[in-house]
Amino acid sequence: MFALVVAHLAVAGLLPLVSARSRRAAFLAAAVLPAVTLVWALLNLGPALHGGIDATTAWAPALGLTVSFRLDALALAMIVLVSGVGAVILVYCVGYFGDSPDGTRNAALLLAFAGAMLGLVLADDLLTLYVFWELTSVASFLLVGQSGADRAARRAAVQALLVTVFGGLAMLLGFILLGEAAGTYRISEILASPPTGGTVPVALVLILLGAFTKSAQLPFHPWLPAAMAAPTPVSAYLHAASMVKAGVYLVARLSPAFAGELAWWLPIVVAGLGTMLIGGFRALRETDLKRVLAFGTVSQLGFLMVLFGAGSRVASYAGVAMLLAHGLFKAPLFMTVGTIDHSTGTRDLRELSGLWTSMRGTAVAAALAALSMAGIPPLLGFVGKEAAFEALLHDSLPAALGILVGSVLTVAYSARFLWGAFATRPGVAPTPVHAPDALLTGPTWLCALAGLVLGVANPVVDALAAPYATAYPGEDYHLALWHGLGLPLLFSAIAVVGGLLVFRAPLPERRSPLDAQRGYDGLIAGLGRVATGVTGRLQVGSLPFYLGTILVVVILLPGIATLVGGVWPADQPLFSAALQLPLGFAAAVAAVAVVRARRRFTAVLLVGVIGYAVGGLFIVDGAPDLALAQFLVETLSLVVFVFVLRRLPAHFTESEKPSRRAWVPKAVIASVGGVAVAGMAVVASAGRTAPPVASGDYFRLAPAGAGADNVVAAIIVDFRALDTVGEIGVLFIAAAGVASLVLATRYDRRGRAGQSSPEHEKDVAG
Amino acid sequence: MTLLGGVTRALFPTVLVFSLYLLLVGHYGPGGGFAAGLVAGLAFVLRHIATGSAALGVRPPVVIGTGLLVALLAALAPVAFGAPVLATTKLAADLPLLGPVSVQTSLFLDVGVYLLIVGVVVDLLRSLGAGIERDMRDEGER
Repeated sequence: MFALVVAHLAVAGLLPLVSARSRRAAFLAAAVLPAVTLVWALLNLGPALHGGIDATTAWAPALGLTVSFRLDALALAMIVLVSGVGAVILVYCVGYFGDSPDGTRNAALLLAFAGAMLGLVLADDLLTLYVFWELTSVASFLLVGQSGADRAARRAAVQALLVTVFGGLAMLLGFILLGEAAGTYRISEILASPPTGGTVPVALVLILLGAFTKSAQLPFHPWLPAAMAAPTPVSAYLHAASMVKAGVYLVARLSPAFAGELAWWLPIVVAGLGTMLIGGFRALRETDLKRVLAFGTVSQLGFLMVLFGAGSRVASYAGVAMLLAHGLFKAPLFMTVGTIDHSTGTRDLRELSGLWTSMRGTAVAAALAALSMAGIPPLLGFVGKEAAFEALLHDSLPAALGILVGSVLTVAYSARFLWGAFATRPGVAPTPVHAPDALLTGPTWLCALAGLVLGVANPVVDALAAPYATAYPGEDYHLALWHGLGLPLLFSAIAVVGGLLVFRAPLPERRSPLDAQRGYDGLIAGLGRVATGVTGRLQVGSLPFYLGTILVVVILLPGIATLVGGVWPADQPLFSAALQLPLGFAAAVAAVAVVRARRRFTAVLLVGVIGYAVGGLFIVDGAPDLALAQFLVETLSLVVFVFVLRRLPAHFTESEKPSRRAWVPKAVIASVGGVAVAGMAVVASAGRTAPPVASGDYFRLAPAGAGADNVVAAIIVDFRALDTVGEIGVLFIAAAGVASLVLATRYDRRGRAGQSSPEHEKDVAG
Repeated sequence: MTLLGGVTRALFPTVLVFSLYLLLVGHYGPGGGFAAGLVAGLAFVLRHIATGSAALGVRPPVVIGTGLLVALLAALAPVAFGAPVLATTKLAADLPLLGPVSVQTSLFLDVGVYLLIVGVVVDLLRSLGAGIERDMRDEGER
């Protein structure tokens, strides 16, 4: 399984090579692996349905991290969508993208996404799942944003990323709490003996945040309609058939263990029902066919959440059936929109007219899919909805009534979609159509027919759902087209009739005062304002202010800590060697003189004197390496200062006498800071109570272990070599920053007289 | 040619050789890649002040990048021999004329540090020291 997932990512990396020759071939090549995956999964049907197949690969054994995969019934159902529908959509891409240059990027990204999604549904380890979860978010960001040239697409991509990654991080926190409470991160082990109490409810709520953001539940749903800025095949695959189901899948995966926890089922049922109703209602208002479907998807995701959160056997049967049904009707509907867009140049239902006659083939396939969405027999959507009504009528009447209202809305927007796409409108001229490619209609038909076939052959779906559903106790149930006359059938009939009535009724034009998209926009704008405010207050652009801030923090935190907890050494000698006296005196005199200096150049020279005096102290104390570095750095600093001073006024201040209000606080902060640092140095140096163990080891090991007589060198390039590598990495970054600043100031170098021209120098030196 | 120019002509290669000495001796006495790199950098500073030549003969970004690359390769090379990252060993060889020579492999990491420091100093020189010739000329004209 690991190899299969990695193969997706590896082939995705190689696809641009294929695209360079033929972009159509790239999509066909991309479709091969998902198709192979589906075949592989179906070949393993037997063992997968009876217990499941495990595969574990060591990731970082020292940390106890493993990449664990498990193929079981629920994973298999998701693979039908991820790999089966995925392969079909990749073939559709051949017709949709044709030879467009966007094809190169999309082929590789879609296949990489398919690999990440496959890893997600196969993962049997919370952390493995998390990694693939975030990979799908990144893929979604790239696929929505496309080339980044379109402003709306960029906004939509950023919104999708921010919302889903916010949820993903919360989920990671939840995973860790859950994993620590359970003592294992293996999902199958957690399901076998679920932890309770303590931090578990918190963990569950955090995990639900991840699931809700990913599956566009209230109030996080606006990112999904916004993501419709992506090309239609991307919407069909990521934002209908597979990625947005990740949240539903996670709920389905964990529900058998936690369905009894209030913190688990209550948020799911409330958010799910709310999402189903809001999504259905909004779908009735949209005029862009794609957005009609997007809000329909939001609504259906809410429905699926309720079914999997309900945590009963019948509801699970309904959930698996609806999961498959939704993928198999929503993907062809999106593909239909793509085909219409391709053939007519628009997807605004106010401009389309007469397509029922001019695009008969596409229309029939779309009708088949829409009827499944509306829950009309004998399609799979009907089978799922019957089971859903049966389950919820048994479990909770309010939820059943909520689902009924949601289903009424579903029928209404299904009718609105068909009417909007294909009806002949009075007063609108028939839209001119150029015949769609067989590569566009073929995949649409395939998915739509699969919904019909599985609806009739519902025992197949029943067999797939049974291993998952029978994890719950309860009386036996089987998916079927005919359960006899009863409340579920009545509910289905009410949904159809009511839906058609709602579709015919005129809609009120009032807009809701609560708009989640405006909430998101306001939040982002507010963040920006807070950041600007904080930056404006802290980064005032005054060096004395920055230095003062640093010193005050030093005085307040480590200074007070030293004062409270430090011990002044009793036997602190004033000096240990006679040479220290003149050196220390020189440094002190220079320090006093620096403060009194009026000219910048004088001050720089005096700072140099202090530096050399300190270097001398190092020599006296027997640290020649340190002294050498100190002298060299001091010299270099002096040179750099001189270079910079050329550009500054000769004197520190223009007026000879600065005001008292300006200099008194500075003087106080500076003196207290200096005293504090000196005091801390003395107290800290007295803090040692035993000879350092590390030093002894360094001395002992340096000659033989590092082959060095110089212990300092042995420490730098051998014992602590990793630190050295890190430090030169920092230097590298700093140098790159300097280089880019220089480059930024000489943008116009080309075409001028070369590097030493006066214009260039003016540019570089500012 | 100014007096400083003449002195620099003699000093520049001498200081560079001294920096190489510091680099090699670092394992046995005061020195090492950091100090050696600074000394070499100061040689470039001297030449820059004396001759003011903008063309330093080296491109700092290339030197810096080479330094980091050498250091990283030196850090990772032991892995190819089955040892942990950053492990060191003594290489000994019997060279003609020189006789037996041994070197600690951590020297390669130090060479990387050396190159990187030289590059950073020359980069500072290039960005901050540009235009010094014109300033000196302007001073003289006044």
